[in-house]
Amino acid sequence: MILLAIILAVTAFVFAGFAVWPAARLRPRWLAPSILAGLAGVAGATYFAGAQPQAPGVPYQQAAAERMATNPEALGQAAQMERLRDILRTDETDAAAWAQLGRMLARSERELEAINAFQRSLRLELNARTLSDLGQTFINLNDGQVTDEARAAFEEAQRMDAALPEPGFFFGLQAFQSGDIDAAETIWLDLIARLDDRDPYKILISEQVFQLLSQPQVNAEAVEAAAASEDFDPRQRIADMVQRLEARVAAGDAGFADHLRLIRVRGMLGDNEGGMDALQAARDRFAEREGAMTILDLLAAALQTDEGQGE
Amino acid sequence: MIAEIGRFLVALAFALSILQLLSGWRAASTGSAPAMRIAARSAYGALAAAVIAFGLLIILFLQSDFSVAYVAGHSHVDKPLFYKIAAAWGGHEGSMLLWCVMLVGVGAALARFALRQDEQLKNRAVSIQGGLQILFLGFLAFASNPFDRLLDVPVQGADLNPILQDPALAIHPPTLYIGYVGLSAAFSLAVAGLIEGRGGRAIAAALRPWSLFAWTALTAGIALGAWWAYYELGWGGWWFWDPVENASFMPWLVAAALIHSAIATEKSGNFAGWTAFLAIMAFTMSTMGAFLVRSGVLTSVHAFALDPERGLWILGIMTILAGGGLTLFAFRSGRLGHGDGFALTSREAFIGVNNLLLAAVAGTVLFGTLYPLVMTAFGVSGVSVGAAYFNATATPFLAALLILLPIAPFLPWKKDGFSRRLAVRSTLWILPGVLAGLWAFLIEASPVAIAAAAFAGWTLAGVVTDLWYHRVLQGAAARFSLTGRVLAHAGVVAVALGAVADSTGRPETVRALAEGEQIEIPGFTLTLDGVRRADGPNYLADEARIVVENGRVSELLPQRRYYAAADTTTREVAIRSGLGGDLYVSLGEPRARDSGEIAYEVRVTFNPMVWLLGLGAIMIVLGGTSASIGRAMSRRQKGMVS
Amino acid sequence: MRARSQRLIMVAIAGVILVAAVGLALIALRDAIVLFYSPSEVAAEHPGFGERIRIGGLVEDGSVERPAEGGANFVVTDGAATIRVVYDGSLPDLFREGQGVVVEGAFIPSGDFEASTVLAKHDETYMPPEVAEALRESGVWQGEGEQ
Repeated sequence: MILLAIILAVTAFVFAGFAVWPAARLRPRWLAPSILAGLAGVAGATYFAGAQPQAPGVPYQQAAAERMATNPEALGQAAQMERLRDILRTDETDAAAWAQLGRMLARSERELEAINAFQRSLRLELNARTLSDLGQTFINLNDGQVTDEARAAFEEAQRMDAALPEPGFFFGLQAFQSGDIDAAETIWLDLIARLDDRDPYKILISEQVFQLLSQPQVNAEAVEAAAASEDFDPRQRIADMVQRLEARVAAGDAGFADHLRLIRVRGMLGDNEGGMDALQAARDRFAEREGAMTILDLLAAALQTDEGQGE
Repeated sequence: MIAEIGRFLVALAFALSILQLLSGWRAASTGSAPAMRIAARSAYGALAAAVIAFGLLIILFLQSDFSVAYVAGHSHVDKPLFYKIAAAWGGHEGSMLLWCVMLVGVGAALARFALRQDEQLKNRAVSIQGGLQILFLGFLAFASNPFDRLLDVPVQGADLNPILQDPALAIHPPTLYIGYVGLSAAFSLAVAGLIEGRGGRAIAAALRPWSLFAWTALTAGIALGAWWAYYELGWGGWWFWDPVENASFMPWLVAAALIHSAIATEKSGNFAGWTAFLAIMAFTMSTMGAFLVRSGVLTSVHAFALDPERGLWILGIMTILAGGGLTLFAFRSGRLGHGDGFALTSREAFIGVNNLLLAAVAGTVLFGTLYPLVMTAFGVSGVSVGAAYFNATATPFLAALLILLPIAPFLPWKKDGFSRRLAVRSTLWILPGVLAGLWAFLIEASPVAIAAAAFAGWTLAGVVTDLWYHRVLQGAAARFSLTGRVLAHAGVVAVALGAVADSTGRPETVRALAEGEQIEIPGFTLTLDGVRRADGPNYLADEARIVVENGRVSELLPQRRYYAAADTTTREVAIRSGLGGDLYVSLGEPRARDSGEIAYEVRVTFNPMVWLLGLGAIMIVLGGTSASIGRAMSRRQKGMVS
Repeated sequence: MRARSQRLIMVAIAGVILVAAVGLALIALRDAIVLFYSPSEVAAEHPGFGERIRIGGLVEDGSVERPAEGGANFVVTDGAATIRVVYDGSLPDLFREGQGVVVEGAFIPSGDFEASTVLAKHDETYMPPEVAEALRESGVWQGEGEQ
């Protein structure tokens, strides 16, 4: 700041002195000095309208060096991403940094850039984790649809690391989205059975699978048409659905998804006891299927807590 | 610290401009030699300060110092070096700084080079120029300072709007600004002449070289802008009669009138008042151009910023310029003196009609451009004036200009000059006119365009005759002047023919193509061969390979780019230029078909003979340059004689 | 005397050109003038089929369809009313859902608006003034300038 003050003072003196020099010998004697002072005064006043002499300049290189010296955890998200980019600017071949950057971009919903970063990383080094992240970003970019591009990425990821849970889940999801619910169910239940009990993904995936499989199977157009008609009664419709499900379960030709639907709809109607009954029926029926039992165990735990809270 | 020094230098240039105004005024009033030297030194000092400030701004861009708001808003560390530098004038604040650099440059040039034989007038002009500098430097320092700081320094810059990252657009604003700001010299000299009560001849002689130079730069700037719009905006058009374009066209028209009327005024004292009036209006119109571009009061395809406060500043400056200048004009124009008078078929008469026609075009364009604003003032908002208005009003007058243009160079000053030889000669010009008209008819031009082409053919013949007939002129200066005149006039013809050809262009063909599919337009078959990634330093891009067949096979590679930092998509068109015209291809959005195929939107137009427009613009610019050189040489010769 | 009559002739020519300019301008203006409507004004005033107008508003989220054969259809809204726009050209690069847009064209008998030009904003801070005005009136947007 002192340096700045000196520079500004010298600059002012040089410029003003240059301009006023022809007046130096003029009379009255005070003429030249007062013009000089006037110039400096006007310039100073204009400068100080909005000046920020205390704020240091921040050339990018300096800012980047400071970021590099800081613990990344202590930085904000934007700064963390920039730090990764700084690393990549000096070394374009850092596959881990590209992948990390891709994950951060994906988290901030900048999918196109994230995909680019993942692809850069994969060109340098194939990595199952990164491939799987790439696949998921493709899916996010396409509003949740599992596209062929995403599938290709997951297939490659699974080939490299068969233990990875995501590919299996999304293969199932693709089958589910194309309407082949049985295939989806098989893929998912096998996947859940395969995962280690301590794997946090196991619970996560089980919950997701329950949510997806227990979605009521309805024809959207039929619902709209019904809703538009005058004697539409949503309760009646739900009751009809429960009845159909019950009939199928009783007849023994209900699939796993039907069982889940029945549990879910009874739970939603507040009929916990009925829910437990339906759950028990499902347990009896799918005792040999390990994946199915995992989901049912989770459901049982959830229903019991609900009941506990109810009392 | 660099930013703070830059801010201080802007303040210093502002303060020195005040000194320039005061001491220049005193020097003109009292003849004081020290005051004159102080005025000149203030101008030099202000120029040095502004230039250094501009250099510091470029350094801040090179450093990517995002503590400076303007840098953070217009740059990015990954931006290529050339565009980091060009971004220094790519946004509002930086371009205003550039404007000010040029304005003080004109002030210093006036102090150094103008009017060695009439120091009183020169000092007055330097003083007036100091006043202009105060207005614009004040606006820069207080309302749009490029050295404003951000306390919360962003980690990365926002990047310059990608469509502005382009070589033509990097040099378009500086060129245009040289033209706009160059006209400030004509303004200052005219105002100074009115204050000093000088005669029309002296004023015209003083402002002619400045106006010619400024008009030439303005032509180049407008041409660069049109070229940019042609290939960067991806619409295949080069002139849209958009407010922003009209904003540069109006000062161009006024300056074109000025450089012609000033010739007549210098020669014979005729049109003295009119020349002074044009000189005042030209710079006022230039400022209005800046106002229209910057204020966002009109909907424009090019609108760069919406900032009512800044618009008000510029409106205020414009009011001072026009109000002050015209009031002075009203009181003092009587002293300009009457000219020698002239006969009806003298060159003056033709220049007079030329000026009236140019003024009519400028007037109708001004009316059409401001009409929406006027209606808003009457409470009717949202009216816009379509291109049809401008085509319908401007074309007849421009065509009339073309009819008269070739005759004028054969007419003598003051005297009646219509002879049988001229009548015979101009009758012969009808033949090329008919040929050009026939050509326009064959390419299916509209009746108006056919007429315009016929007039252009007539004019071209006349211009060539002008060159042939006057080839015997003695002296380098006269030859440069003749070359300049002929080149510029022929350039106008080329632009007119180019516009005629362009008006026959067919509408674009837009279709979504999957790999292997084709578009056919008359004469061409285009096949989409494939699309690949072609990423650049600060963008991601798809590049289509399009195979073109028209007897021979060639390839076009249009791109579609995504600039992440600015979150903006742009298209880089691919153009295959030929004598017949440009095949113009751009790549649009991809879309999925039900079959799962990806189809890319491809847009194709054929723009007939666009090269005529470019050729014309280059000829006009070369002509203006040549005429400037001729003018400078003849002055030097006169200076040696006297 | 001579100089005066010459000047009179120049003034006469100027007068003729002035009259021609004013006449041309007024005639041309009648055909070339394009009025701006917001979607609500369209609903209230029903501009006729084939009449060339401009409509401005926001592109409704999720309304953009890109038919496989090319072109684009979308809905322009000001929060109070909506208009379906069909366009067979190429959308400008800065066109985006939820952003301001101005379309020029005419209504066709199907009730859709057939656009011949679509103008999108040129940069982040730019909102076409008519659109800003229209949105302010319908209360969707409270940008700078008022309040």
